[in-house]
Amino acid sequence: MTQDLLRLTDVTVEFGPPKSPVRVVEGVSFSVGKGESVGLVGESGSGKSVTSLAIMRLIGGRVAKGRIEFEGRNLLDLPAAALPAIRGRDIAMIFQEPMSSLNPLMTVGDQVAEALLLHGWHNRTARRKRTIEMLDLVGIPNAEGRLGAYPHQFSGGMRQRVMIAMAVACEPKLLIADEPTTALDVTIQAQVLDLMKKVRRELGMAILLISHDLGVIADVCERVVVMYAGRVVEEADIRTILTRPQHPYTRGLLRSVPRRSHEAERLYQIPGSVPPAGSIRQGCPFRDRCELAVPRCAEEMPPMFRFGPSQSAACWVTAAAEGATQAGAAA
Amino acid sequence: MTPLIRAENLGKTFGASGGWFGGASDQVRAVDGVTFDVEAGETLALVGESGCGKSTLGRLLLRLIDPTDGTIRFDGQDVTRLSSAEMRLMRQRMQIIFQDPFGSLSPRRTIGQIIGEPLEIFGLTRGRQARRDRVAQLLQQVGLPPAYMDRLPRQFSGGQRQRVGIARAIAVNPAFIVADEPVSALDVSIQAQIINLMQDLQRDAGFSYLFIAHDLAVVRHIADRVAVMYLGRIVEVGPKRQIYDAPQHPYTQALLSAAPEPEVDTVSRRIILKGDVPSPSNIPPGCSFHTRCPIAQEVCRRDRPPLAQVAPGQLAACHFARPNPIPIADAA
Repeated sequence: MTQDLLRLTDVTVEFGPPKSPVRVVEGVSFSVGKGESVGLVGESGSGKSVTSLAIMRLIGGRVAKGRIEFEGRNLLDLPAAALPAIRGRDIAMIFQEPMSSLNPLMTVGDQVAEALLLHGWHNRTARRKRTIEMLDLVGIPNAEGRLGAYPHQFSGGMRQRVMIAMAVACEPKLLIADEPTTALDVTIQAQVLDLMKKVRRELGMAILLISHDLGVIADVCERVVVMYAGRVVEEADIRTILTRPQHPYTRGLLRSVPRRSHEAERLYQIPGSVPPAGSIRQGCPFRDRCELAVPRCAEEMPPMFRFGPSQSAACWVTAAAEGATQAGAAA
Repeated sequence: MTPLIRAENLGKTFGASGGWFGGASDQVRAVDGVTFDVEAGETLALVGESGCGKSTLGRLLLRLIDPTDGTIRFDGQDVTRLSSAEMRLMRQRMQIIFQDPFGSLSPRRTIGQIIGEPLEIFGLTRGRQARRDRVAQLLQQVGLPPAYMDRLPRQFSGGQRQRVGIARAIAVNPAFIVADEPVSALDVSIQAQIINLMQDLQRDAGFSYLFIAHDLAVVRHIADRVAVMYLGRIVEVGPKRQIYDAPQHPYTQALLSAAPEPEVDTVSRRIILKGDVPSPSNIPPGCSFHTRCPIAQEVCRRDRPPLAQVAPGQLAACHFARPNPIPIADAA
């Protein structure tokens, strides 16, 4: 068992006025081990991005409940002044659209170097050398010659490479990547996913990859956390999720993904649509779309049940069918 | 039998030629010498990455933009020569579904007004009540309650909006629909609903689709034939089964293998292309794919390979495509 690097316990995030809050994330618990790659998968409105932003304390909403521990320290207890030291050095983050995170008026070399300077690289020559090394690592051709280039001179895929170089320049222990390849073409996505795996291997950092695409997660991650309507509904190692999913939502999601490798007469479809954030106050949020739903599902949110050494899922029906037992508070 | 659509040598160049700032280099050759047919009732999928010209090609077919060269025949009639009045009548037979159907519509108009507009323009219903009845029927056809007709677009989810976009497109009983990335912005669980709906409607009404997409997984379930575009040209086209089981162009092969699937142990089969797609304003000479092609030779840098038959109904533009290919075993 790897040691926990990051552990979320019962995290609840609310938006709006405190008197009538909208709960966008509720009771989310999971962990990321040292050097481990974990995927957080869900559709729009699942709360996956809000969860990842909450870890970095970058949200406008409130973490109303729960603990977010990094190496045993609760990040929620830290004073705001302590955060910049953690961001970048311990935990780095990359986003879907690199152009909106890069400064258009600053050269690519200066932006990577700035990240280094902020975290103690005071020697100019060493900083420059490290910047070239990083751009080289992420596969920018002729890295030294491109130091003076501006972001607009790069393609979308190259910008994402620069973002990754900035993010990993200080060798963070955890890289949070929020839909890093969603805006990219498939052949470029393949390059960037490969790069993320290479960087992780070479720098030994952990990755929390947020994506709507189970294929992307299967490519990069060892373990998966499935979210639906603000809650974790299933968690398992990647092979188990792909071969023996237990939550009806995970099963439906996997079945509805169009495959290039085999063909169905008709695609499987999950009926209905995701309920609006915070609209389900009671019971299982998936029950209205679920083929297996029983009356209990409308009354009581199922806890996480343990289906195997690495797998747990929040479903009354499959838990009863499989004889799964209720998991501990730390699922 | 004449095909429903026949595009011949279709080309589109954007940008002025010989301008003040250096002439030819300002031009973008978005579509270049494209020839293909769409049969009545079939779905031709047009697949390629951003900048390959697939959306431009879709708009050319509807004459939403005019081609620089080439012809488009619709039911045997050359639509590139039609006057704007004749073209307006023709539009009743050709419709488009956009990725975001409300991107170009007023947020203040009700769903009923949006779907009813083409009925009004083409005089297909007489009077307000008849129009409302027809809109109600269309909403039902796309799986929405008729009572929604008085609501505004912002009250709808992405999947519901696309259903409205589809209802508007089929309102005039078209023979041909260009669907430009209709499910790309939707969640996976909603994508399947929309694809199934589009298939059901086609089975009932018999129209043809040009289904534009950026990856091959989505179109596998809806296409009869698939055309793959790269930098303005079709590099491979053929019956679906041939394209998926025995792709002949290295780009098709890479595109097929690039998108990761939620399967155990798929990574090893990936072909990862080098580099980026070149700019359409600076297309490489010879085979335009040679800068990224894993099997490129000297001849590829020099001569552009023609789109030639490699199997019945399957054409590929590659110097190394072999006729009568041995099918490549695909994923289990």
